[in-house]
Order: sequence, then structure tokens, then C-alpha cells
Amino acid sequence: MAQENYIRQFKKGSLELILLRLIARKESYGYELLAALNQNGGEGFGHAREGTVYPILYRLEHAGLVRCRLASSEANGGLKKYYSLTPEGRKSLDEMTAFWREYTAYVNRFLDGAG
Amino acid sequence: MRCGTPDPEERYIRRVGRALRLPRRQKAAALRDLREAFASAREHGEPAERVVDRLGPPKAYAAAIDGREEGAGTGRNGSREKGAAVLPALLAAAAASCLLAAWVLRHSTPPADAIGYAEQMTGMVVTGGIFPDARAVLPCLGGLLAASAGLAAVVLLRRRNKKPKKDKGERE
Repeated sequence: MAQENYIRQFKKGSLELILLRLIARKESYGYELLAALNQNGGEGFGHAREGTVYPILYRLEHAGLVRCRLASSEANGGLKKYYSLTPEGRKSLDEMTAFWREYTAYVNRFLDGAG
Repeated sequence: MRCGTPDPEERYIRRVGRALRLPRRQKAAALRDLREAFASAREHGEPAERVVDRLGPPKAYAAAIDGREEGAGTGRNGSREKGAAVLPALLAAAAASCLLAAWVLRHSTPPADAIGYAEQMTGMVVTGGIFPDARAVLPCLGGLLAASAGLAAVVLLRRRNKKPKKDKGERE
């Protein structure tokens, strides 16, 4: 049970980094990000859900890491919110990526038996 | 056209709206995003029920959006917490002002050369005024405000110490 919780928290933390990366590549809307997650990493992450992704997007927006633009959408008859990275978001993404690489290398050293 | 029993989308959005603890504008924005989630899924041929399932329980979704999921005092509830913390301080300041004013009234004496100044106490009692005597009312008011400040502080501390309850899977 504790292990499940650990994995869930771990995934949640890394999902923030992945979402920032996806938004940095291309201005995207929520469902598009969800589809990209499920196409590229569904097997490792499990199926990404709106209930997980939207709160993270909301948090990133509130923290000033992403900015939003509302554009009318003929397809769904309403508006779509497009997310793009702010300069602060770019800085955070670079820092988080550097940390992730360093951290996983460090953990892998132990897992590979060097410690 | 939606009449009678609301569809799963409307029902879900309404429940999230009731559970969200956000200022009105932020709440409206969060609900707009939620409508977009349903609309986008519909655009890709997905039924609302499937989206509801993926969004999870309305209360849990609302808590994830407004920051309660991360624990009290963090996230977007921080400003509300700060607002609650201001109340005991305001009450305490008002109580102190009342008590100070009462003390000043009780201990102030007119200047010795004031016209009509008497060396000794007068036996005259003024009655029948519509305003109560401030010297009697202010200490009482100050005491009441001080007690209220204490009570508000206790409630605030208890609320802060209380661990956030996890939403126990309200699947609606």
C-alpha cells in the first residue's frame, strides 16, 4: 500500500516536468496534452487522466510557469485554452530537467551496484 | 437543451462547483476548463460518462484544483488562511483600543485652569441621556472583544492543527 502511494507521488512529480516539456515543444490544449501523454508514455505511466492532468495545468498556470490563450473552437462549439511556456516556466523546465538527469544518474549508480 | 434530470456532465460540473473553495473568478475559470475537458472529449467521440470516470470523484477533483490536496496552508488556500489569521489580530487590536480608551477616560483630569474646574467631586449626577456612559461601556466592550479574539485564535489554531481529511472516494 505504501509502495503504491510512493509510486503515485513519484509519477505525479515527474508528470509536471513532462507536461512542461510537452508545452515547451508546442502550444497545446488540455486534451491534446492528455493524448500526447497516452500515446508516448501510456505503458510506463499508466493511462493519463483529466483528473490528474488538469489540476497540474491549473497549478502551473497559477505559479506563472505557463500562460494561457483562449481560442474559439469550431469543433467543440466553444473555447479551447492553449498553454504555452512563460520565461519562468522555461527556467523551471531547465532546472527540473538538470535536476532529474543528475538525480536519476545518482540513484542508478546505487541500483547498478556501484554503492 | 437540458431539462429534467441533468446529464452526467452538468451534474459533475455542478458538484465540482459546490466543492471548489476558490474566489468567484477563479472558480468560474476552473469550471470553464472543466467544460472544455468534456467538450474536447466529445469532439473525439468520447461519452461524458468516460470523462467523469477519468476525472475522479468531484470532491477530490475540486480539492486537487484548489490546493487542499496538498494540505492546509499551502496552495491557493493560503490567502484564505491568511485572511482567517487576520481576524483574531483585528479583534485583539479593537479590544486593546477599547481598553486603552477606557483607561484614558477614567484617569484623565481636566487642566487646573479650566473654566468650571472644581477641586472636589460634584454630587450632581446627569441622568436621562440617550447614550450610555462610555466609561462603563468601554471596559465591557474591550473585554468582549478580547474574549472574541481569544476564541478566534483558538479556532484558528485548532483548524491548522487538524490534518486534512482525504476524500474517501466519493464516486458519484
